[in-house]
Amino acid sequence: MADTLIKIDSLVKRYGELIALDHLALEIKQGEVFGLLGPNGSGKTTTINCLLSLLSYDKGTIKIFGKDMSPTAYDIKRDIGVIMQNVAVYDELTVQENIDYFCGLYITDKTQRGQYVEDAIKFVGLEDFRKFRPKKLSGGLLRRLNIACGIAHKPKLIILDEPTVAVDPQSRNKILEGIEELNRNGATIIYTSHYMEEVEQICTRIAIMDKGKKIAEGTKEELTAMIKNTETIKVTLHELPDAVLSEISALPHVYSTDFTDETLTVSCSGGKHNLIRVLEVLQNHDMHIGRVTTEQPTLNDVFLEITGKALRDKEE
Amino acid sequence: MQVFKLFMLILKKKLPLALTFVVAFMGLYLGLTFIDKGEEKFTESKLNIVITDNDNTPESKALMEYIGKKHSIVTPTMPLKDALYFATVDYALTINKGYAEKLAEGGTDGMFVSKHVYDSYSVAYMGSWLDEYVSCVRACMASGEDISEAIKSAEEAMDINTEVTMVSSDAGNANGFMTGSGFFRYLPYILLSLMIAVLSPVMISINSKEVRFRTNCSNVRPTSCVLQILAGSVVYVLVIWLLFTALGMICIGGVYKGIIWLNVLNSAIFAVIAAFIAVLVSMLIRSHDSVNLVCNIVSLTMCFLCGVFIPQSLLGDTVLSIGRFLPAYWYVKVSNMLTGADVFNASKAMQYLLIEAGFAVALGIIATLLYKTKLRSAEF
Repeated sequence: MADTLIKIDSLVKRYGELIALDHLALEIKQGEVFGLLGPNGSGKTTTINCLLSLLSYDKGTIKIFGKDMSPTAYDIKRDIGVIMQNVAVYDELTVQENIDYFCGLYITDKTQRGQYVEDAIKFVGLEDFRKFRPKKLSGGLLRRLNIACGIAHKPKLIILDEPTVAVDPQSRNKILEGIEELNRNGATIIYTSHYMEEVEQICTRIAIMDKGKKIAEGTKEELTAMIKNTETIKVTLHELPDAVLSEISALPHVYSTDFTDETLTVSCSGGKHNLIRVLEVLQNHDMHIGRVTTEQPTLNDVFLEITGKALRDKEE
Repeated sequence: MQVFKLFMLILKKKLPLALTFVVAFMGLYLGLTFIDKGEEKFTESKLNIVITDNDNTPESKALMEYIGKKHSIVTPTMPLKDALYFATVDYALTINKGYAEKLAEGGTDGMFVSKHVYDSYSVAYMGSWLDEYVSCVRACMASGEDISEAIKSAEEAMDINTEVTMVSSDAGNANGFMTGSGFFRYLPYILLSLMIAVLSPVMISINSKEVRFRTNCSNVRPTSCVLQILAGSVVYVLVIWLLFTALGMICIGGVYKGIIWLNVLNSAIFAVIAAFIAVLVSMLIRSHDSVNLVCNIVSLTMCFLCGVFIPQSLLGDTVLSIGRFLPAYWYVKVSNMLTGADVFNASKAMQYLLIEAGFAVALGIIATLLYKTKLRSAEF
């Protein structure tokens, strides 16, 4: 079993009357890509800030690499890389100068630093832009520079707080691939996001947060197993008589049916061959079937079922 | 020393701007000095006048004689038009026949005919001079004098000169002080401009929330970070001050001597004040675009209110009352003493320097408190 890299116990953070973190407990193992998933305001960033000792907290303990984390725990900070949502680089410096500066905050040896900077530039694919100022870079390239500045000193623990906000899909994929590669190279990753697809794609373990609390934790499979819904079948039909809908609702393992906008949605809980059974009923009544899809439950379904609300705001 | 190196790296990118300020200041200063040279020396100008007396009376002769005292009566060596064209003659005056009668009777038309270069200053000058002469004679005659007495009295009245005192803040060599005083007098403006326009943007960049967050996550101690920024600022202030001290020597054409060193001390204190103002500006505004606007407002307002551009002796009491609350006012007070514009008094000079130093300390304390408050408020 892998070593525990981070252990958070009973963490409480209050902003006046507002409880931002409510007895949060987390344990992150070495080599994991740990996802912190939750809607805006759920306490993800507060957790990260407490973890980095940038924010004082009211109660609880935080241990990183087996040591208590504090603002003066410089030996711990040396092995942490941080990539925040907002791009934090100097507009006056070139790409190379920026990476060199942030790497230099950790690595004092000039030769070693030079090599690390080169590695970071290559890693994020900014070889052709090393002399560019940040303002000359596109949004995606700027994000890559932001990542390079955070990982250039080759940290053992990398914390990424929503690094793909406002990034185009192509750059987002590149960033996610990069994170997976960092993990393969031995770094433990903490990844916060409210984009469940990203978390599903790269995280080996996920904690779902809401209102400062951890509401579920586990692998994606473990999380989806927690909920009733195991399969959602969608069939496009011109019409569906009530009698047929009732017949489908009565099928084994079906716990919910709905027909709206010419789409029949059947939610199933466990069991096998649910799709075949639904299609048989429709064929028996000579229904004209259009598109048929089946969906496995997503983290959004998990969140929806546990909290009764969607993970992401509709406009997102 | 990573933060210090960063400071210098960002500062380096701002050097062209700093250089522009220095070159512009020196250009303007040297230009103004060149224009100003000899301006304080007034000499009565004399015109070369050709006079034709067609009246040939004692009155016309008296006028000719009096003109001869004030100007040069010449005989042209070439045709009159050519002489006027080549400026060997400034004014050709013909005293018409009947001048004496008209003078006695109070008539005005047709006394004189003149030839001159169109729109020249000599026309205006001579025209008004003749009008004044005639008016004076008539005024004396009106008071009961006869014509010969009136002419005499008019000449005496016109000989009375108004004393003109040249007001200058640069008494220069005459008082054994220093020349080139304008250099030190204008220094507050350039120091404020250089500090706010260059130092403030560097501080804004280094202290921006996002990058400070990243620095705080690293294993660099916050105290070390602050000290390195401070060291960078000190180096910049020192370099600027030394540069202007050296340029000052070049402007006065030698090494400072005696009490003139107080000017150097004065500028050193003001450089520190300007640096603290720049730090305050960097903490109060976030946008780089606003820096230039703030720079102009702060530097120009302070310099106008404190008598940097206009001598304090010419400023109104209200302006001076406001100026007292600004450091540049006390800087100028010291500077005035050292240039001879004010009487030098060592104890007063020290008192003014201490007031200036007090401003520096106060601004330093405010900047430190504001910085600490800002750091605290940056907690997420």
